[in-house]
Amino acid sequence: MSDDLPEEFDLIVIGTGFAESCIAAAASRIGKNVLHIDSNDYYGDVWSSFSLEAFNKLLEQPSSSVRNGTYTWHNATEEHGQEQGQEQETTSWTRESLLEKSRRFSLDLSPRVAYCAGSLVQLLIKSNICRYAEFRSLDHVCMLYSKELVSVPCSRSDVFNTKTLTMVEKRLLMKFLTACNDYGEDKCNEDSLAFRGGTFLEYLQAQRVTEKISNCVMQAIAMCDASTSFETGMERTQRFLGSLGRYGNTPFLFPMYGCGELPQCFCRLCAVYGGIYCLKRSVEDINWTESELLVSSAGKTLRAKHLVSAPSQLPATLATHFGDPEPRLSRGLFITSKPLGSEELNKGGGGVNFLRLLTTSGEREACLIQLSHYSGACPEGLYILHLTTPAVSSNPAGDLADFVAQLFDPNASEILYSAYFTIAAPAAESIANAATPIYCTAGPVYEQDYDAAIENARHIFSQLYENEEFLPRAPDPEEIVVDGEDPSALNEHSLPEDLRAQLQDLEQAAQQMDIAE
Amino acid sequence: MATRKKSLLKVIILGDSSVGKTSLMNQYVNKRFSNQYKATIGADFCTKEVVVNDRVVTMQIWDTAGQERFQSLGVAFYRGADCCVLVYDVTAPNSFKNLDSWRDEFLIQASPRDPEHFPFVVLGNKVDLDNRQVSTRRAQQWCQSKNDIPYYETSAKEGINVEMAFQTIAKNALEQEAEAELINDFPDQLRLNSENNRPSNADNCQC
Repeated sequence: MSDDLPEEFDLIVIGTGFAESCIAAAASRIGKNVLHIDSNDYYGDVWSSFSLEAFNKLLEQPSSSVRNGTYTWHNATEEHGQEQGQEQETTSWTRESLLEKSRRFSLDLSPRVAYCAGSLVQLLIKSNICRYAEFRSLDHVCMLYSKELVSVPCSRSDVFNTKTLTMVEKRLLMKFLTACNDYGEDKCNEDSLAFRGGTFLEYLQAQRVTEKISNCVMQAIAMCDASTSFETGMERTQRFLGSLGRYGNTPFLFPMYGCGELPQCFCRLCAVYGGIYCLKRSVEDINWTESELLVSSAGKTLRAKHLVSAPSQLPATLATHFGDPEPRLSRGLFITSKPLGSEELNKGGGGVNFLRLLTTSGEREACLIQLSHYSGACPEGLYILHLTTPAVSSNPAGDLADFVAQLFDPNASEILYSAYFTIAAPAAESIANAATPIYCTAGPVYEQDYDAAIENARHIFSQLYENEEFLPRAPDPEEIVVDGEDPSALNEHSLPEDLRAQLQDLEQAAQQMDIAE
Repeated sequence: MATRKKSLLKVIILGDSSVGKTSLMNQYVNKRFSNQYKATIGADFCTKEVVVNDRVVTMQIWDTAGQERFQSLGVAFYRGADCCVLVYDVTAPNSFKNLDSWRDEFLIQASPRDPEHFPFVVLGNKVDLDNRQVSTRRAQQWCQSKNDIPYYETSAKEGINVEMAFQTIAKNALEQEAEAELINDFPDQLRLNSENNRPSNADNCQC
């Protein structure tokens, strides 16, 4: 096949990870001529999802960004028979039967949940990229209380129906959350004034809540530890509350088929606006002059005014400028035939659940995402457990051991497969201090939502294209004028009644969604 | 599992660059044809309501957005497809030869539950041109060898057979349902922009 790739671009983006894809989409959206390449044959780089087979292969070949990978098949050949109940069909899973369904898995390198009113959801709606994505509302936000996994009540009816809390606790919790929700509206509220500068825990204790409620708030709602400041705790609580009642029963969403879908949504928008896509295309070298960058790739020299790259995809000659990759995230991934927690947490075949955990000493935290087949990320009857913690060593299993011990017995017969790996990237400072005209993205950090990743993309975009809007709303296909058509057809007043109403609704919604900038 | 029926059919169009995928879609949905070839800019997806067996369904036809040009269509594009339209150009033998790999690629990426019976439709486009190179017989043979894929010869430019081809596409996509295949695998999935996802009784913690 002849390589008729053009050679001159406004922007070349190397790597199709989350932040790079945001930047590519944003540049293409404002009319820039974008080439987006990736040395891999898949989208997403360290933000991608894989089939079971491809995932194993990835762990076998350490790279600068995914390393220390190991995977183990547990007693997956054991036959279980049908001893529990007649109608319940017990499938026994073997290594072969798991691999047979390899493509039914979508195993994430960097899984995370999104707040229903958080920055990712806002960006997707504002840019209209949401039309390419589908989500599953999380079924339960959980907490660990006296070694039991319990659901954190997320709606008014949840609070009243839950058996986890006593009547008094329910009232206390509602009162506390109401106070948090109202915080900030009345700046002179003396009740909270005293706690500014203190910790959130102090404030919580002063409300005389029970230990269980305190746990619930600290672990799951405010996502704090003992040292988190009052202001931060309050902000997080409000973020949690503000994301309730939008979609589903919890404040969180998970992308259908895994988080690896998200970069592809941004890439599609880039492509729709003319961006050119080339997977399996690596870069051998990058040079530059005063006015442009020269990218040597597959025997060609591609020229661009600007260049953005993922740290993991820089050619070796340049990677040194950006510092050595350091362990960022320690990841554990388990495939099990039994979901975590009670039947209640896993109604109708299993929940897509979220849990934030602290080490027994309370110093480090991790988050767990349990996926059932409803997430589109694994076959029916199986569950994926994703564990993520900020890396403190190059031994992901060691970093996660404390959390695993709190959750399940890794030798239990239902655990069919386990894998550990480290996600690495150069330190943020060394990326920022690199003396090259290349804009390097930050790579994944430990966070629930995509706030840091989006901020990283937005920041690089604003450096490239000052004063340009970051991902303004892309019109729906119906609104695009086909050539030869009278452009005034899109005039608001010539729209039919129902469309006009819709447009006004949209505008209103957009105004309400506006992110303070 | 809930067995809510689907009323939205996702149809994806595959084939080599410049065989007329976007033009076919435009002809069918907008009844328009543009002679200017742009390697697909702005073509995204189109929706059209169709009546099949007295039932109204919304057909959402997804274009490749040009990502096929350097074989860079991501797996997300294939997700949840109910029918796959394979297009080649009757004046370009290579685009016909590549149908095999497009079909294989689809089956790998989309991994439908029943690959043997997944509805494909093949369109030989540009029959209005004089320099035809792929014979009808050859194309029909290929389609027969692949479990009798329906075959149409079309011209997006003249609007020949386009309507009929897409009717078949809609019909075959729906027929899957008769075999209880179109049951929604993921009953509760959300699209963020659509208002009807909002719970009607705002049952939340705005206490």
